[in-house]
Amino acid sequence: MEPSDAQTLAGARETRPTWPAPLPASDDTRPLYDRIQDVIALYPERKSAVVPALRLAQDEYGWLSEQAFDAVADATGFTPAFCKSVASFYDMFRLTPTGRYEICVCTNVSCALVGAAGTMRAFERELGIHPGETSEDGLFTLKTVECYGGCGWGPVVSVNERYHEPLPAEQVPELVARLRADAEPDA
Amino acid sequence: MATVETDTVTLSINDREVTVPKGMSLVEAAAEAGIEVPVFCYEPRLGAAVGACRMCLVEIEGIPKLQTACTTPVTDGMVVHSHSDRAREGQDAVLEFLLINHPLDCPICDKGGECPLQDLTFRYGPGSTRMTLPKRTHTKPVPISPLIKLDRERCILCYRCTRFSEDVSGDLQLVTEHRGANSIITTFEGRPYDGEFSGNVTELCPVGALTSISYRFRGRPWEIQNIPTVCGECPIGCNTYATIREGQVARVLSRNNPAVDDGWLCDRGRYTFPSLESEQRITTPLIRGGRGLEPVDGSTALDHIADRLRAAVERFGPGSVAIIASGDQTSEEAHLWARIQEQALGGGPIVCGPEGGAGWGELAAHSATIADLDDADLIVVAGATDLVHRAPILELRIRRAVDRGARVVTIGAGATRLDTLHAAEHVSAAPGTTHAALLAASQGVALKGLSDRSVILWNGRMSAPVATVLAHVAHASGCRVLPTPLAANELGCQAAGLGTHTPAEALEAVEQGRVKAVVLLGADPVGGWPGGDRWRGLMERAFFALQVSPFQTGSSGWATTIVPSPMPLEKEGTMTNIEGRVQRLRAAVPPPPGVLDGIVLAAELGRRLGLDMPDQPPAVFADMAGSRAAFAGLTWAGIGERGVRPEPASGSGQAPPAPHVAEGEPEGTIVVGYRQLMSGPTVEGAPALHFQRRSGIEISHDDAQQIGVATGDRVEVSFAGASLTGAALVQRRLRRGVVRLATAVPYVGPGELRAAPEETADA
Repeated sequence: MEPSDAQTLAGARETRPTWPAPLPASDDTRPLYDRIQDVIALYPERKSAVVPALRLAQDEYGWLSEQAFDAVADATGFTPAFCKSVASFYDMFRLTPTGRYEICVCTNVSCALVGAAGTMRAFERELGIHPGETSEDGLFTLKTVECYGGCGWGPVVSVNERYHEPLPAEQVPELVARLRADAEPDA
Repeated sequence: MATVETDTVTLSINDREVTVPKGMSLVEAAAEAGIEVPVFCYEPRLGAAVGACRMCLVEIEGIPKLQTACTTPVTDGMVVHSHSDRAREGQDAVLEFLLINHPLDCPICDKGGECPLQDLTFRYGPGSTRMTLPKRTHTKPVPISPLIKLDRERCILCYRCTRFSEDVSGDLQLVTEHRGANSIITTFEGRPYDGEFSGNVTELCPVGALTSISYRFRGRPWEIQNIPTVCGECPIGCNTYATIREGQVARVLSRNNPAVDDGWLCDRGRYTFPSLESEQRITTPLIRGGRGLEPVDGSTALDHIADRLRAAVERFGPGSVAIIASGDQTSEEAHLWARIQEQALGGGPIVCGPEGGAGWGELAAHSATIADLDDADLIVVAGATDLVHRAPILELRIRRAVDRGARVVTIGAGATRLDTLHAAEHVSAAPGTTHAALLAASQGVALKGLSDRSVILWNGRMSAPVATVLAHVAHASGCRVLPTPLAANELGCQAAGLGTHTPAEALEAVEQGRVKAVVLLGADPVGGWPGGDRWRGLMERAFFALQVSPFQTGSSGWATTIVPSPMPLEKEGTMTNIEGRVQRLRAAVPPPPGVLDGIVLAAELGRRLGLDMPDQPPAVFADMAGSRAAFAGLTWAGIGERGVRPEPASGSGQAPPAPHVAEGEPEGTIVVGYRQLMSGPTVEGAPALHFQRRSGIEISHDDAQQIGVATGDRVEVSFAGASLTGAALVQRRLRRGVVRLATAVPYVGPGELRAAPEETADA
């Protein structure tokens, strides 16, 4: 596509960079405590390191369990209560165990105007669960989230932190089927 | 002409001109002008205002929207209206919102009658609600600790409590979880709020959301009386109100004295009042006879004691009676007992507290006030343990000083709470050599900048070598020192003459056979002092052993006569705190029947021994002021609500002798056994406080790796001829070779650490 086509909405969709790039697999196998120390060293204020430290812990434990908060607290020098206070503010932190696929649907105003409610209903129908629930086979967790900043391509949905945008209701069955199929070999 | 820079601004609030310092907030400026702006979350002691509750909305000309007066600094020429139609409309709307989910349970709410939300609802707000939907409900009340319950329905999310937990006490245990309308105040995963200052949140809460369990459903503001007194649990002497209902203490509140406590109170001071009713209290005099301790009436006991003391002096000569005091007595009691010893018993040894008080006199000329910490640019905290165990409330003042930009240098074994402060620098010192490290640091770069705006807090046992070092450093740099006594009125007792010998000197006199009788004033040397066996030897062999104490203690078994004494909340008198401030205790409740007032007891005994002694607190104080130099010029009436701090005697100005400290550092494991804040008979008598006790044996990371244990594993530590097993607590910042634990008897010295053998299961 010609760069000039990027001036149109359709062109912008076609040429936009894939973002975020898939996270490179971390080859850092040191204990969580040591990796958090590296993060702390990046900031003048120790407090600033709490959010990235929580992300590391979430990757390590899969979700932020009591044990995960204790580990972050020990490594950052704050209390587990403070770490959970920070984590519970943000939708991106998981405070409960989630299924293999965490599906987050933005329901804020821009996405709502272009059919987020329909997308959400489609997921509920396909998965048989409501927002905040995990399917019985442990494959899917459905959540609503606040604005993802992808307002130009609503409705925005993320699956395991990867954006799928726009995702109108009619594309939901196909996405769910694909995710189920991907999970099949392991099952 | 250039505009003149001034430090003040002039503005108009409700058409009143007011001139206030630059940088002041509108709420404060309005208060200066005599205008009240309604507030919930505003509380200057919590640090910068946050504007969370929105109650203080005011109209400022030139700004289209209403502004929160607590977060808006004054500017020159500002025109503010706090009672205009628009401002009132805003305030009313905020109050209506705050009440949307607030339950109408004032008739059964403990805050009812003393509730800021209730009071402001009477004066602001629409008077009724337009809300027709059901109010939000929560599980309630939720205990957030054995001391405090939280009613989330009543909470208006002003964040005073979480700001206290984060910014004032720094314990960061009471936090907000979730966001926006879903925010809740909580602790982590239901764990108890375990901090020494937790009770302050019940006083900060502007609604009935956080309440003390011990006061729930106990009283109404119109049927209680608040008696202004002083806490007798530690040498800070925080000012308090004892709330009395039907002749009993129902709660203890702080009474803000900015020079002492700044309106904060530790949980030991707040929640130990149930010990007044403790079963361990002695409520009748007891004399040991053929069938053990037998109860007698007061005057029989006094006759018996006078007779025995007289007999001791006749048989063994003057000076054969030792007085061993805890240092918790009022200065008046101390003065009378000191007079009995000096004038009737021939001047035997008097010991005040297990640390004995040598060296304090040397430091008088350099002594700092508590408020000096506010202005200090460098605060040195020297000691091997947490400051909270000896002088709890000072920790809050140091934290605030750090927020204002003060440097903190800790000297000691490390891994204390102050070490984790943002600005803290640490000088590692082996326990027992902290004073040597302080001296070296003062001459090196670590304490560069030590000046007359610096304060050294000595958080440990005072002794002659320590005093010499402190005096030397203070003289050389101009800094001031604030050493922490162990007992609540250690300084007052000494100033009143009760404290002439160190424990070691007294034990020497005992073992040379010069002491044949002993009077224990509140002290428990057998159970709680170093050298317990030697003290027991004295008690066992004594011709006469009198114990005057509110509680049965480890020493009671060897006493031949026991006389109950009142507790601080039952006493009239004065105490001298850490900075030398003389403060009034007022009897909030009478002592239990059968317990003689401490002053009356000493005066009656003195009279039986032929001394002319007053028995009323003001008269005793006058007697003391007339004969003890430290109280010269003070009057009972002049003490007032805030206490007085006599100017300490200025030194000679001459350089104190250069200190000689031993070179080199001790080898091997050093055990630090410290008396923790939540210990002692008053804490024993308040079971709700026991969850705050520190347990576990603190060991350093290196030592843990060396003996192969992790936090939670059992370790065995032996010292002073005994050994203890407990769970290890691995501290990354603790000095290598140091083992630290809370013990009944303070100890600093060599010991051994090993992993405990596997526990064999008992049948």
